[in-house]
Formats: sequence, C-alpha cells, structure tokens
Amino acid sequence: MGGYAPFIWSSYGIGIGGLLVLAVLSVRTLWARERELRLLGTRQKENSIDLQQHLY
Amino acid sequence: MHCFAKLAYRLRHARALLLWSSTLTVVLLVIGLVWGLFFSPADYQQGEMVRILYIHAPAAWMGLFSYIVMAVASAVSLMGKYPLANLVAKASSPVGAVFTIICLVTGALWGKPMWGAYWVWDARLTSMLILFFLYLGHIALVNAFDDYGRGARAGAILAVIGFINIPIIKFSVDWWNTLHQPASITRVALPAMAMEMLLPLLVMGLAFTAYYVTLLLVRIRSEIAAVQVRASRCSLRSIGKRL
Repeated sequence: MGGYAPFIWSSYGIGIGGLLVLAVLSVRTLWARERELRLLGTRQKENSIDLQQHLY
Repeated sequence: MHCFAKLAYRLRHARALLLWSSTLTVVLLVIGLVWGLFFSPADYQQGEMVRILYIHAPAAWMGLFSYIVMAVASAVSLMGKYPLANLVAKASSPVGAVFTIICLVTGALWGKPMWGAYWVWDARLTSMLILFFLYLGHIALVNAFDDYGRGARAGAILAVIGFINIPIIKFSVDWWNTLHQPASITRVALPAMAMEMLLPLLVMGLAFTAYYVTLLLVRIRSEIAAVQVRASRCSLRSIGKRL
C-alpha cells in the first residue's frame, strides 16, 4: 500500500469496528429490554390474579 | 402509553424491513470494502491513501444526514405531541455520533501523511468537531432527566438550535479558505472523480445508509421497550401498594 498501510488499515479497522460495536450494543440493549418487559408482563399477570383473589 | 403500544404493534410489521436492511448492509459493506481496498485504482496525487476516502466520505455524509433526521424529528416533536418523533431523534443521535467520530478519526489518519498533521483548526474540521459535540450534548441531555418528556423536549431544543451548524459544515469549504478540498460530488456538476473510484464510494455510501436504517429501527424498538418497561414497573408498584 505504498508505505501507507498502517494509516489505511487503521482507518478501516476503526470505521468498521465502530459500526460493529454500536450495532452489537444496540441489539443487546434491545434484547435485554424485551426480556425485562416479558418478565414484568408475567409478574403483572401474577399480581393481577393475586389482586383479584384479595378483592373477591 | 396507549400510543406506545400502538407503535410497538406497528413496528412488529417493520421486522421485514429490518431483515432487508440488515442483509443489504452486510452485502453492500462486503462489496464496498473489498472493492475499495483491493480493486479500485490508486489516485495520481494521493496514491493509496485515497482508499481512506471510501470510509471517510460516507461517514461524513451519514453524520450530517443523521443530524438532519434528528433535527427534523425534534422540530416535529416540538410542534405537537408525536411520540415517534421523540423516539426517532433519541435513536438517531448515537448513530450520528459514531458516524461523525469515524469521519474525524479517519480524516486525521488521512491528514497526517497528506497534510503533515493529524489535526488543523480548519473550518470544515472544526465544524465537524462541533457536530460531534452537539451529538454528545443531545445524548447527555435526553438522558439527564428522570421525566422522559422533559429530557426529550430539552434535547429537541438543542437539536433544532444546533441545525445552524449543518449549512456551515456544507459550505465551509466555499466560504473560507480551507485545507479541506471542496465537494467531489455535487448535484449541479459532473463528479470530479473517475468512475472506478466513484462506484465503490457510492456502494459504501449505500451500505452506510442501510446500516443507519437498520440501527434506527433497532434503537426505536429498544426505546419503545424502555418506555413500556417503565410503565410496567409503575403499574406493578401501584398493584403492590393496593395489596
């Protein structure tokens, strides 16, 4: 690469690495939030059943 | 909360779009990277260093485009209560920040052998650095409040005010004497570069656009899930109090 290989490869590494890191972090955050939402949904259902038993 | 549930339902239909955009991102990135690194010719002046352009220029375009999306969404959210507009703005800023930092770092790596310095306080470089700080400010501001609405509103005001920087970045190379070269691709003139270089550059531009669409969809879904988690926690707390 005409003596410029360190500059060129670092540019591509930083560029693609940056995009990859953001993509992985975004997908992991989405999965974690969806998992938490499912858990909360289950607990909410259980609690509403408890509440109904208390009320009636 | 009802509007977020409706949005979440609609976004389930966007899964097909997500699949298409993510596939397109991978395919175009692989083609663009291989083409740019191994098959495009060296420039008669810059030599092999021209290859950095295939990462640097699309990152700069998308850094600006992400901000335009964020500013328009912010303006829409300030004009009325559109929950999706706030979510688009919040989802767009980290993606734009990453594009901008990639542009700045790859520009610095190009600058060292070409200009003899990693950084110069040139109008284009400085205005891009300001854009990066605007993104950081927006990310910090929308997450700084416990109340989601207040954070979104404060971030929206910053995004709209910061929009003034976009024409400054675009026209900085025309308004001031800068080291940075003027635009190689304009709408009014033929591209000032050979087709062998222009094609991989456009492929990378499309790849970055597809990446942006993919990440925007993922992050909007993630933000909706976060709102729903908060609402579910509140509802659980209120049930707990009643019990």
